[in-house]
Amino acid sequence: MPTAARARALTKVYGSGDTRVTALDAVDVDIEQGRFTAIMGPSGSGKSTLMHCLAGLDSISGGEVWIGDTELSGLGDKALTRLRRDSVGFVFQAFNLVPTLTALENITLPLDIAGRKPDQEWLDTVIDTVGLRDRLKHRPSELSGGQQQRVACARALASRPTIVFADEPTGNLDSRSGAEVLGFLRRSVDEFGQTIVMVTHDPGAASYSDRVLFLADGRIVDEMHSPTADAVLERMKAFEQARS
Amino acid sequence: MLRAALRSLLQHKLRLSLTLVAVVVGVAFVAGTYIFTDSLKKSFDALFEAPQPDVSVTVADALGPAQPGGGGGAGTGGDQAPTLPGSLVGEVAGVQGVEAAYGVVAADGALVVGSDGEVVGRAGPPARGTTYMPDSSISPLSISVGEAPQGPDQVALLEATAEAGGLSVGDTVKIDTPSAGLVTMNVVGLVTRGISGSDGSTLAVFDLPTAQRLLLGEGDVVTSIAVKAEAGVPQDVLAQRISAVLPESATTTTGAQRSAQIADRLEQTFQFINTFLLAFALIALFVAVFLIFNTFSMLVAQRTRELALLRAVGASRGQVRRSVLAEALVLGLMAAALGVVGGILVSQGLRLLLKGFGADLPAGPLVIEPRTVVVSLVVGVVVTLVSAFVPARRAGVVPPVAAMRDEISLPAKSLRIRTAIGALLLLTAFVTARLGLASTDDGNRASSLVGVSALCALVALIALAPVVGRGVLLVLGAPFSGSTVGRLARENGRRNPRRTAATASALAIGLALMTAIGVIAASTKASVAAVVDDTIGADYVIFGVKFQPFSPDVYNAVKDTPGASTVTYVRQVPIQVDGDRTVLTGVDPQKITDVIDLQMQAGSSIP
Repeated sequence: MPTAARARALTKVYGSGDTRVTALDAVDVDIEQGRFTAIMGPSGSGKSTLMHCLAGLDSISGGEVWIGDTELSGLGDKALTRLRRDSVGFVFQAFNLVPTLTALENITLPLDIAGRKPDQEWLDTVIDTVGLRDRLKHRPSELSGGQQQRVACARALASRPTIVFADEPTGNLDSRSGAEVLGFLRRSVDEFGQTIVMVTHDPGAASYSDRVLFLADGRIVDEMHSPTADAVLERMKAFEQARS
Repeated sequence: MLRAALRSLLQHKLRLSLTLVAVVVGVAFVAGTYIFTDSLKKSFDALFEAPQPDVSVTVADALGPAQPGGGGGAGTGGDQAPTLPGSLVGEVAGVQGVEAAYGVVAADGALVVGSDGEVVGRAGPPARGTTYMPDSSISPLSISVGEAPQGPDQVALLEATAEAGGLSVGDTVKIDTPSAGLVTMNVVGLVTRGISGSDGSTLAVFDLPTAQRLLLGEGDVVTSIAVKAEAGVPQDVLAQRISAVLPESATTTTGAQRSAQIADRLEQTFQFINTFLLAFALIALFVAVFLIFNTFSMLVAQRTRELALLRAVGASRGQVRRSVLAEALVLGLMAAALGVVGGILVSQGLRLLLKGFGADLPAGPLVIEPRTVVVSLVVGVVVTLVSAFVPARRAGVVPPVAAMRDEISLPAKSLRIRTAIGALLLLTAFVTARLGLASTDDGNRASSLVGVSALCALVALIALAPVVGRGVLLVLGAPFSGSTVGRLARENGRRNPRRTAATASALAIGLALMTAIGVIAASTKASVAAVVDDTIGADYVIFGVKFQPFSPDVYNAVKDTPGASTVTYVRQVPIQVDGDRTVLTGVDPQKITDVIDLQMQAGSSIP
């Protein structure tokens, strides 16, 4: 199975001296292409940091990170920016839409920034898949949370990135809207072959993925294939007990 | 990207429009200065087209601006105006190429008494008397109502003079004249001045013999000769021919030269207005820089998450920076455009204001040169862009990962460099101020040193404001620290000293400038008062109306007033020494030192 992203001995340290915190401790990870990977772990386990480092949003303290065939640690700000623009899509917990732009303008924003014309056929497919056809002219403030997150998903997919990173995408949503968004992410993997990495602490959300990585204290401690919500919950409980 | 930037502008309409005002005011003063000056220059063209003598013959080296027609008189006035013999008029008329030559008398001191018994006009500008030239093609005066004065008891008044004195055609009017004392005349006409560059002087117009009798008191003499050229004879050629027949004491001026002189004089007069306007523009723009800087800093801080998002989805630092600068550009363009419109209002307002002060400017169209628009736009845009540059750069360095964090705090930079620069500038300010105040014998050096000091102090103040601000807020907030709300307010101000300081700085600069103007005005007033108190020991000073000389009879009448210990007189005449004009003052050397503090610098007083 080819990988869309991978890390070797990835280490991330915050602060120095007394306030030194090792957020990631020599993590090795492979993100398989065309698959839906979930990263789970308790608060402070380093799951968000792992995602930021994999996505080229944050600098790393040691080790190596690849997206596709590009090694990230050697890249400057310009090259990293271009990489994010062309190869990475993001879905944030807080939606992070530009409030002054309409839904459609938000969806095409990464393409506008890149100065590229959107592939209209693909754009139509994405818009229809998220079911936002009749909401395109609305501003984010006129959309519900679920609709906003679907706009954010469409934005992540519009430029056909190598990999999409989703940071607690259902954290701010009610369970029905959350299920819609997760269903959409699942479909984009199944129907379009999109690679998705999702950070979550919700076993229900993790059950939509193909594979769950469990993170604790900056290390990957376990993984589970074809997870169910119950199985994930059981595993999490086991960690909690092991820690206490 | 650009769209997001422009929409953001729309979203912060109110906040930005307040920022806009400062730029608009600044640009309006810049544009206003240009429009006013250009319009004035354009109206000078009218000076060259208005009827006036082709050549004027005047007394050579006359002291004070001898002006034929509607113009001047002899400087400090009233004293005998320099004259030419009347026979010269006939000689000039005989020169080849002269169509007609007219004797003109013009002198100061024709005080028109209004219907209320008071002398018409304010104390400053002179009261002029002159002759009416019957040829309208060269006469700067034209009859607007009634007819030209003819005979010993007829007078025409300047329209403005008649209006101010409540006089009209058919009335009788008393006029105090230099040579014939108070005379009663019939008002037969009103005149207007074609060109003037006038200063609010009053004007009474007589026929030539009457003017000679009332204003000069001698026989057949004139103060100037107005010449009309035959068609096709150039002014300068004619002037040369006339010069050939003139005695050494007379000289010629062509119409074109006179127009240029008037234009020159007007331009110099209004130069100070330009300086004043540009100073105001500078102040407004200086304040604008701070307001823009502050507003954009706040906008950037507020939009950190949005900017981080743009960075995360692939916008480069440059793109984010440019998007902020694009906002500034649009804002600057809008402000500058409004400023140009404001400039028209400023220039028109100035016109009205000056009219209110009695200066009647030559009329002319409003001139808006392309240069005015270009300069205004450039000033508005550059000021806005420069002020927004630092906030824009700050926007560019927002880390993309900030989009994911709930808590957004920009890294707080150390104030150490800022403190060092501020302290250095403050020191420079002190040193230059001391040096400047010490160099009392060189006014230029002193003022430029103090100027540098003021600028350094101002910038030092701005640099040190965040450092000082924390302490100041602690003290100022102390009375309120009993309540939670008070403590919160105080700590909120102290939390981000840069932001607090930037807000305070705009206000501080405005106040500093206003205070400076106030102090200058008050100091000038105080030092003038001190000079008057120190040098003039007299309890009363008697001046002639409009500073005209008056009869020694007045002195004789006042001299024996009971209770007056010392009464003395002063007389001044304009003189020329080695080409420099000055005033010769005649006094009674025995008594003058009792009433004026005069120090003998060298020599001795004649007993």
